[in-house]
Order: sequence, then structure tokens, then C-alpha cells
Amino acid sequence: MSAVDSSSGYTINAPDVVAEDFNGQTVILNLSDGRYFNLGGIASPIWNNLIQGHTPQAIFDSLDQQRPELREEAARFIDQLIDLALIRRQTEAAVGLAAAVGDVWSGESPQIEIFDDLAELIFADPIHDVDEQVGWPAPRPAQ
Amino acid sequence: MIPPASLAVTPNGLAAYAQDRLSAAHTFPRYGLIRRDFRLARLDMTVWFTSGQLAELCEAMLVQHGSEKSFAAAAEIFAMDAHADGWDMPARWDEGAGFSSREFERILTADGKRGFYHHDAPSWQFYDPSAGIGVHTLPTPLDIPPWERGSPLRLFVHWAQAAAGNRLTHAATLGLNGRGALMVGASGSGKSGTTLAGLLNGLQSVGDDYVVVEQGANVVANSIFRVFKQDRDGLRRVGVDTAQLSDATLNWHGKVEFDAAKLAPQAFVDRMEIRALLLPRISRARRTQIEPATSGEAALALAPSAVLQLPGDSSEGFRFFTSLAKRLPAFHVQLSEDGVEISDVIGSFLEREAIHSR
Repeated sequence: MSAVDSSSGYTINAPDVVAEDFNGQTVILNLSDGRYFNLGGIASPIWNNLIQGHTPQAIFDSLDQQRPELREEAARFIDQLIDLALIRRQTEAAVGLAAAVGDVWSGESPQIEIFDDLAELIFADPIHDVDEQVGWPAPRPAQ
Repeated sequence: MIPPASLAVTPNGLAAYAQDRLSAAHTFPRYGLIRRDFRLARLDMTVWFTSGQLAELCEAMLVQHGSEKSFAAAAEIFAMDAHADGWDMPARWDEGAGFSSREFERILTADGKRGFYHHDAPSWQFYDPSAGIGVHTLPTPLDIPPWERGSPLRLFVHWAQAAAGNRLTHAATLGLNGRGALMVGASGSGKSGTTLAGLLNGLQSVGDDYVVVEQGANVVANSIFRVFKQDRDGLRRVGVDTAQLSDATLNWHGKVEFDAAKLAPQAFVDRMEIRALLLPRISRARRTQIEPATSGEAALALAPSAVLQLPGDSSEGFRFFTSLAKRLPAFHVQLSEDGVEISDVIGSFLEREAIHSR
């Protein structure tokens, strides 16, 4: 069952989550677990609209008008953002999706790449060295 | 000697322990300490040591920028070990409380401090950025984390630079005539080997692992540590016999550490204007290829690794590195296996990039 409350506003899960937009590509870092993310397709505009305060329902309504075939995938993507603790519900009233942003839905289906190669740094001593064969980070040797 | 269980530090007691150690260091009688003044990149750092051994290690590893005028940023650090009369054994973390480095950071940041705990020693590093004072409390003089043997005072440099708006950055560098590129990416992507090949074939570098980056009118990278690292195979690939490296040592991970300035005296420079980000990849291509990358790709290669490598100031670090990725053109570099060819291709690229961005 979906965890999304379509009529609620959502916000970035700060201060643990930080994100930056690069001309339609969004890079997100979760400082609490070390995972980082790359959003592609219409994932970036969905993300941008959510953290600007637009409700999932407003996003779905806009997609229904312009790209109805992407609505289900958009809902799954928002579910994933909640599961990954990248967004959380906000208490302030959400705003409606402005019509002017409707043309953002011109991309492919939402994609999220998840990278966890640095996650170990969060749970152990920072481990600083590499072994090209083993990859990174390398485990600490026994003391 | 193991401290009594009553001295185990819990999350609730962490901020108080940090303040206690900072205050104890600051009021410790100076006559028993060894003072060293380091003129680091954009930072004057005075360090008081209880041990001559650690002072010597810092002098050997840190690059001093002696020709510069006095810097605006300053820090005073106390490197204290329990062999010194009057300095307590470092407490242990209360293992029953679990340990999360993010939670550790959150507690100290809320109290205006920065810190790091090394479980094995145990040892602690605390820094108060508003006062510019830090303490490294150790059981014995050289009980620093093994990965910091080649980069002593690394975290204090990081915290002091962050407070000054600069960043200690996990990146390698190559340049030509004082202008160059930062090489970023996961360890194992070929940064160090490419830097070494470049150093030996006419290019310059300010570091192969950590550099201090400033973002002013120009982006500038500064040298901070003089030791480069490479495994024996990597050295062999670029034609260096370890016997040539008279001062080389093996680090905790079995890599050879050597003084870059001794290997290539003209090539290891203090400062370099940065014109591009390079994202190297060991692809064993027949010829080294350089192709444009997006700023998002550059941010993915640079920001998470650079932020998570160093504790504290994480959100600010993310903003710093994503800003850098937006500001500089980025390029993928598919590396061949020929160090001379790699250096030629990157050298030609840097020449073109310097001209185009003039």
C-alpha cells in the first residue's frame, strides 16, 4: 500500500538530506546513511515540485493532463522517496501546482539511481585508503 | 592503561567531555610543551605538542607556504598524550550506547564543536571553530589513526579551513604553468597513478589525495601534504623503482608513501589555478580519451566522497562542492595504460583549456 498522502505537502528531510539541481539532473546526499542518489527523467521535476510545496495530487493532476501514462510511475517514485527517507510530510499548508510548470513533464519516466559505496563511512571509523582490486572502502586491518 | 569504566563517554556526556578536554588543553602549562608554527595553505596553525615525535612527523608531512604573507585564518591546536605529566588518558566511548558518526557530529555541532573519535587507540580530536582551538588527546605520542600518518592534523586543517570558507578536498591535481585540473572520483579510479605519471612527465601537481580548495574570483588548489601514495605495481608502471625513493615508507595499507617534492622537485608546486574537473577512469583504452561530462556527473563524483571523507560541516561541504561542480567545466578521462601517453594527452588538454578559458 502506498505511503503517499496525496493531499499533503512534503519537504526535503533536512538537515540529514541535501540536494542540488543541475539543469534538470538532481543529485541528493543522505548524510545520515551515506547513500547518494541521481534523479533522471521526470524524477527531477517531481522532486523540485514536491520540495517547493506542491502536493502529490497536484503533480498527478498535472500529469493526467499531459502525460497520463507516467502517473503510476510517478506515484511509485514518490513512494520510494518516502521509503528512502529523502522527503517527509510537512505541517505547513501545501500550495497548488502552478499551471506554468506543466511543461516540465517532457522527459522520460522517473528514474532514481542509488549509490551506497560510501555508506560504510557513516557507521564505522572513517576508513581512508583503497585497494584497487577490493574497491573502496577497504576494511581496516585487525589491530 | 585503560581508563576506568566511569570515564566512558556517552552521547549525553559527549559535549561536556569535548569542552573539558579543550579547556584542559588551553590551560595546560605551556612550559612543558613543544611549540611549532605551521604556515599552511591560507592558514596559520600553531601546534603545542607533548611529544617531539609527533612534532617531527607533522614537520615532515605538512607543506608550509613560507613565502605567503600572514593569513587571515588561524588555529591553535594541542596534541596531548597521556605520557605527559598531568594529561589524562583519553576516555573510551561507551560501546553499550552504540556509535553513529552522524549522531556524533550532530551532538557536537549543536554545541558549536567539531570532533572525531578513533575507537582503536582510543583517541579524540575536538575543535571549537569560533575560538579556533583544537585538542587531539592520545594515549601515546604516535597513536594517531594509521591513515593519518601521511596526513597528520588532517581533521584540524579540515575544520579550520571550513570555518574560513575553504575546503580540504579529497582530490588529485595536475597542471601546467600554474593552471590545472582537479581529478575527482572514487578511490581506485586512477587519480594517484595519473598524478604520478604526470609529475614524471612534465606536468605539475599540488597533491594526489588532499588539497585545499579556495573559491574566490578564481578557483585555486593549494598543497597541504607532501606525501604521495602508490602501490608497487603502480610505481613500476610509471618506471619508478622503489629503491629510488630513499625516504619511502609502507603505509598501513601496504602502499608506498614517498615525498613528491624529492621525486620531482620542479613539479610539486604550492598553488594552482583550477580550470576544470577531470573524472578519470581506468579503462585500459588504447588511447586516453577526454570527453565532456555534465556538471551533475561531476557533482556525483566529487561531492558525496569529499563530504563523507571528513567529519563535520557536511551540509556546507555539499554546497561548496556542488557549487564547484557548477562553476567548472567537467570531463571524463578514459585512461590508457601508458603513463607517458596519459600525460601527453592531459598536458595538451590543459594547454587548450587554459587558452580557451582565458
